[in-house]
Amino acid sequence: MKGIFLSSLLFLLSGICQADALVVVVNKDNPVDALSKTQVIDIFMGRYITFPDGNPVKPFDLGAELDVKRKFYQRLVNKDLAKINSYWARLLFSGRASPPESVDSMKLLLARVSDTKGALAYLPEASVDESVKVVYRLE
Amino acid sequence: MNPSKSFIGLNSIYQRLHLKMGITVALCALLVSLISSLGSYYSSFSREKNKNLLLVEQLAKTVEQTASISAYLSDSELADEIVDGLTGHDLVKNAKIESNENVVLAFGNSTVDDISVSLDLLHPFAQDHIVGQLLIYPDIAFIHRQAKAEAYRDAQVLVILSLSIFIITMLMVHNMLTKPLRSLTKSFAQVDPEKPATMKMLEHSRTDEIGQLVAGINALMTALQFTLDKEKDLRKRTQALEAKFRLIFEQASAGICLINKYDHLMAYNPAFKQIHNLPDANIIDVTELFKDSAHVASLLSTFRRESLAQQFSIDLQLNGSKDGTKWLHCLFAKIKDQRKLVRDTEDVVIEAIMYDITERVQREQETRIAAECDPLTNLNNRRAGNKRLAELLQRCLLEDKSMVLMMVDLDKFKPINDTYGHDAGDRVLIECGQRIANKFGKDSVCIRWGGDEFVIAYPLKQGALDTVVTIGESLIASLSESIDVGDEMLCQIGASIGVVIAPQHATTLDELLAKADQAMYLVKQQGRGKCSLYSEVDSTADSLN
Repeated sequence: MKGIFLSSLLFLLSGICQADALVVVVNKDNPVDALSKTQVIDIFMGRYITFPDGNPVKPFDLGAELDVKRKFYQRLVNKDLAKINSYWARLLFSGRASPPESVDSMKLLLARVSDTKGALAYLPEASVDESVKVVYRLE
Repeated sequence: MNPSKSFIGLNSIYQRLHLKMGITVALCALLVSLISSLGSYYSSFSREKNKNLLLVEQLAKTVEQTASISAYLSDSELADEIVDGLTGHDLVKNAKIESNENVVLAFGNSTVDDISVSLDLLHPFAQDHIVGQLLIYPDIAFIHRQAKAEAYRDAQVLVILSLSIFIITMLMVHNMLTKPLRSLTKSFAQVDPEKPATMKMLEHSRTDEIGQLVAGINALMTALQFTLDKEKDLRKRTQALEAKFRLIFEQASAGICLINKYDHLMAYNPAFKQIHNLPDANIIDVTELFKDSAHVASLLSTFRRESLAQQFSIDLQLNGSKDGTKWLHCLFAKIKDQRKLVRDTEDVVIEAIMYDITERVQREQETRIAAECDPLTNLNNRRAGNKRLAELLQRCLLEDKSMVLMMVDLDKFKPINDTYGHDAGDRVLIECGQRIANKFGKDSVCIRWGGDEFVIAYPLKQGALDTVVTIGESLIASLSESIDVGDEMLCQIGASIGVVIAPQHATTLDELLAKADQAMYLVKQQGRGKCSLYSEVDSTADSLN
């Protein structure tokens, strides 16, 4: 109930704010309701592999929709994609961390999020549906 | 130029100067280089150290990003990689990356050192978070070694620099200063004022201080030469003058001497010495040389006192000469000593010039004697006798004494001349004269009055009036004794004497003579051969005869 209330609130809010806002979403059954910016960063940049509550997390990148990806990372960590790529390239051979799984399309992404319990992804606000829960909003 | 040769044969003062300078400069150079190299060492050392520490910091910066990521992700492997990379660096002894929770992600294999450069590793994507720390431990030993080596090199360079500057300076100074100074000193040492030939100008072609010094020396030498020449000239002239004066003084036939205020001889010429037969004494009193020393002394002192009198001349008799009395004509003159002020009128020097006039004096005496003397009898002649009589009379009258005057006329003289000749007559007169002279003393005046007349006068002792006639008679007796006239011939004469006594009979000489004559004439008339005292009665009675 509380989740539905929050998501609908967020939905409403998203309606008030700009339309090209990006949101970070999780599986709707995910107990996590909200994440802070830092938490989002930490997960997407490979620092943490669990949600703050300890459940494993699986981040997803939009592979094909580069525009969205670019916007996301720009707003999240203020770095362009080249830097993000080089970041992951550095960690390729040495680090335990691995980049988020890249998904080609929005539809696929949504599907994956619905399928995966610990999924964490970002979408344009407009593309959100009921199968996902918004836990963070980027302007 | 052979350096060793240039140091040999110099006077030691110069050599010391050169060495002193050299040693001083060397010591200074050494001191400066030591101090500066020490200073440079320490500053170099700290500079190098700081540089290296800075490098280490920069090193930290270069791996900051990656280290941040490793701390962010708690990626040990990445951290290891980084740490390995760091420790490979010479400057880094050890490195450590630790995350927030003090989890050491990577650590080198050495022990912990105190000094470390630490860098906070920030959240790569959220710069306000610190995700960990990077610690780099610099290799202090290495840094120190580097720094030392660097400092040492710097110091070496400084020392070499100082030494080379010193050497070059020494060479330059030697060339530009000490060498010309030495050559100057050498050529100057040859200058000898006593040898005019050596006093030629010193060479110089420089216009700096040495040149000025040389020019100054040359000017001095010129002046000195000039002065010396003048002095020599003056000396020559003075010597010539002195020679002339010496000639005059030494060669003068007259004795010249200088007398000081104590009547002592200051100087005298050879002629003076010869004249006086001077004793061997340091101080000779000139008055002692003369017969009447006291008189001479008083003369000189009076002369000195009288400021108006400048000179006087006098004939003086010498003291005790073996070959009879010597007479000198002396001219005494005051001279002012030009060299010093005369403090009082008595402080004058008297110059005396004297020459022998003994002969002249003798001749004068002879002449006088001759003029006064009867050549035959050596008694006074009439003229001189007259004078003497007058003197004696005056003296007797003044002294309230009586004077006896005898007029003696020889008897029977003329026949002798006629009979035996004039020579015999002369002998008779001579004999008579002698007998008269023998009879009467030095107080008397014995005169050959005429051809065969004699006058005798003498002062009469008090109360000896009675003796007068007796003396006359005794004279007659003496004269009557036979006289040897030569050729074994003897003759005899007599005498008639008329005696007057002054002041009884007369007070003037003419009167006395007249009356004596009268008395004598009376005797002749009355038979001759007697001595008769004048009396008024007799004369007036016989005045007509």
